[in-house]
Order: sequence, then C-alpha cells, then structure tokens
Amino acid sequence: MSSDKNNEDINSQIFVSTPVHLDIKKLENEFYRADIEIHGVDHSGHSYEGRVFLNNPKADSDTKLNFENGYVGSYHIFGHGGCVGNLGHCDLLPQRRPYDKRPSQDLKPQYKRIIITEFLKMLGQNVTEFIITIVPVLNGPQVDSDKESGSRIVKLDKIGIITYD
Amino acid sequence: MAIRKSIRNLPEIELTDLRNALSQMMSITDNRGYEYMAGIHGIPQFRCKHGEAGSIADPNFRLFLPWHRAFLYWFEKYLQDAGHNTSISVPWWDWTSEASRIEGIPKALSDSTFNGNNNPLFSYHVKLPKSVDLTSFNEQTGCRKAMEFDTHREPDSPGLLPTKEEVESLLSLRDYGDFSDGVEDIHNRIHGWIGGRCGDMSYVPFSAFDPIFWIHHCTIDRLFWLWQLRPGNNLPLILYDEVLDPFSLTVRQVINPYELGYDYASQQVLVNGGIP
Repeated sequence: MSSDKNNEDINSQIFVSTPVHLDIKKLENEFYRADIEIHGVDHSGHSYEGRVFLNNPKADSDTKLNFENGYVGSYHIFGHGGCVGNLGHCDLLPQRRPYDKRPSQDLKPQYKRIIITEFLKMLGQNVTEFIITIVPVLNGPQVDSDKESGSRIVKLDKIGIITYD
Repeated sequence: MAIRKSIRNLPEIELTDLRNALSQMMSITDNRGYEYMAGIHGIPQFRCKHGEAGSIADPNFRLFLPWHRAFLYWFEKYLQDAGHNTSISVPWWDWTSEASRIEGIPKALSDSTFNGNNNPLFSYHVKLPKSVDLTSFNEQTGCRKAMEFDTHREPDSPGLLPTKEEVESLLSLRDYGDFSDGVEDIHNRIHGWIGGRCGDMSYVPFSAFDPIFWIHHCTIDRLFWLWQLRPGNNLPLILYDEVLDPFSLTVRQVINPYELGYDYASQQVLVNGGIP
C-alpha cells in the first residue's frame, strides 16, 4: 500500500503522509516481515537523520524515540549539500539511451526502508490506517529544522508499507 | 600481508610511519597523490557508490561495500608507495568502544599537531578546481565554504555514537541487501556525527578530503569482512562481475581481503625470533 506525497505542510519541514490503508487481519497469509518503504528520496541537499513515526502526525524533533510515541526507526542521508558542478552537472537524466552502459547518475534518488514487523503486528490489531511521519534532524548543533529556512529537507516520491509472507 | 589494526592500539612507531606516509602522499600532486585519490569519491570525479537499493530490478543490487573496499585498497597501495613501506596499513576506529563513547574521536586523529608538526590525520589543505561553483552549496547549507580550505570536523556528543548492540544487530542480518543497507545507514550516521552542520565529512563532495574518511571506511570494511566470515553469508552472484569503476577490479576480485593482501586485527605484537 502506498500514498502519494500530497499531504505535506509547506510551512513545516516535517513530512506527514496521507493515511495508508492496510487491514492486517484481512491479509490472506500471516506476514513474517513488514517494512516502511520510501521511494525516490532526494539526497542532493542537506545531510540529515529522518526519524520515522507511525500514527503520530504531531511528532517533532523533541519527541522521545520510543514505542509509545510511534517511533519505528531512522534513516540517515549523506547529502551533497547542493550542486557544485557546472550548469547541468546535477540534472537527472530521465532515462539512459540504448547502448548507454555508463553507471547511473550519482544524484539518482534513493530507496530507504525501515523494518517494522513487530510494530505493525501490534498496532495493526486495532487500526487499519497508518500515517507515516518523517521528522528531519540536521547534523550538528540542534536548530529547529521546522523553522529551517531554505529548501525542503525531506523530499520523496512515494511512501508506504509492504508486508512479506 | 598488511594488518589493519585498531587506531587506539597502534604502536607509536607505526603511527609515526603512517603519519609520515600520509604527509608524503599529501605532498604529491599527480595521480599518486592524496588530492587525486580523494577526488575519486567526490569533487571532481564523483565515482562513489551509495544508496543503490532499488536502483535496478534485482532487490539485492548494492555496490556500496565492494566499491569502497576497492577504493580503500587503492588508497592503501599508494599510501604504502609514498611511505616506501608495504606493511603500512589504514587503521580502523571502533566507535562502539568505551573510550570512544567517552572521548569521541581518538586523539591520534583529533590532535592538530604531533612532535611539533601538523598532524596529517587531523586535517588536509584542499584547493578546489576552478570548475567548482560553491554558490549552491553555501546557499543550501548555510555554510561558508571557500575554494581553498583546511578540512574540519564538528563532532557531536560521544554518547550518540553507535553501540555494540547496534553493531551486533547489524552483523546478525543474514540477507546481503539488509546488511548492506544497514551498514550504509550507520556509515551515513557517522559521516554526519563527525561532520556536523558544516564539517567536510557531512557532504559527499568534500568528505574524502578529511583524513578521517579513510579510517571511517576501514571500520566499515572491517564490519563487511566480519559479516562475510559468519557462516552462510555471501554476496549475491549478480554482483560478481560488476566492474568497480574506476578501479581495474570486479566485485569478484575484492570479495576476499586475503587476496588483496590485508587482514584485520585488534592489535599485533611481533618480537624478533633471533634468526639472522
């Protein structure tokens, strides 16, 4: 199940997904593993920790990282900090041409996943809608990334939950 | 066989040999030199491999670990050349040790001088190529990077370094894709922990200029080897014939560190056996 990135609050650096609908009691087979999948994560800008919460859309950088607050894990971005090349250096090529064997462009968006198997099994007993929140925390002295000026820190294409049986 | 040892256990004489070789390598400005090697990763070549999960259909396609193994091997060979000593090796840093969780970066790397000279493990003086445009970097990050600078670090609190439990949890992963993603994430975290907001380690284009980069990647490569040594852990066959650009090596050729002439140890103490 996945959700498009259409529920971002443009006034905040915190990403909050639209609800992901998943009724684990209706799954045909019991799953042995569940992941939050994040597709198309931009890494051209800041380096940061992305703290991922389930069903806690009010989470922020002060929220304690525990089960009660819906914290399921973090991913870390090793960013480029912007483009340092000439014009076009950081343009992503939409598709390689036939016979083009060169490696992919180094700014190609990334895929991240957080394993949430046990968390989902517990939470999924009571709810069928999951909201995924990503709180970016920049490296270094803590400035409130909510108020960080400049471009958006968390940029992604799609986010969702996948289960494996 | 070069033995890569923990930097906190490195005998003084070996630390001195390492520093002298590194200083020598930093003074070389051609394709055997430090600037050229560091420039393979970020500015100006950008050949590094990161975050490839999901980049092709095969769910296990990841070159992060073998590519950085080849890179470190390449670097170590030129370091040995510069020091005229084939036993010189890059040391590793155990972030999970009690000492690290108290003092953070080891003094061998954080002291700015040694014996009255600049410590080459502390910083490197970078002169960026004229083609580099820092406008976007400085705007996006709020940092003030110049075209010529000494690398610097802004380390976070030592208590935030990864724990032994976190590392053991990583090593217990059986699937190569899971392990590679996990170790890459902890690698990203350490880059950010060392570099902070504006330090060079925090950003791909500059990170390899900081001498701690090589020690950090030696730690990552050691974790990779420790994972490989556990029964049943293998790299997926799809990777074996991948070329590790720009090194003249395939993944198959870097799977076994013994074939590359190095091994890992916490420490090694040898005494003379008396044979003339």
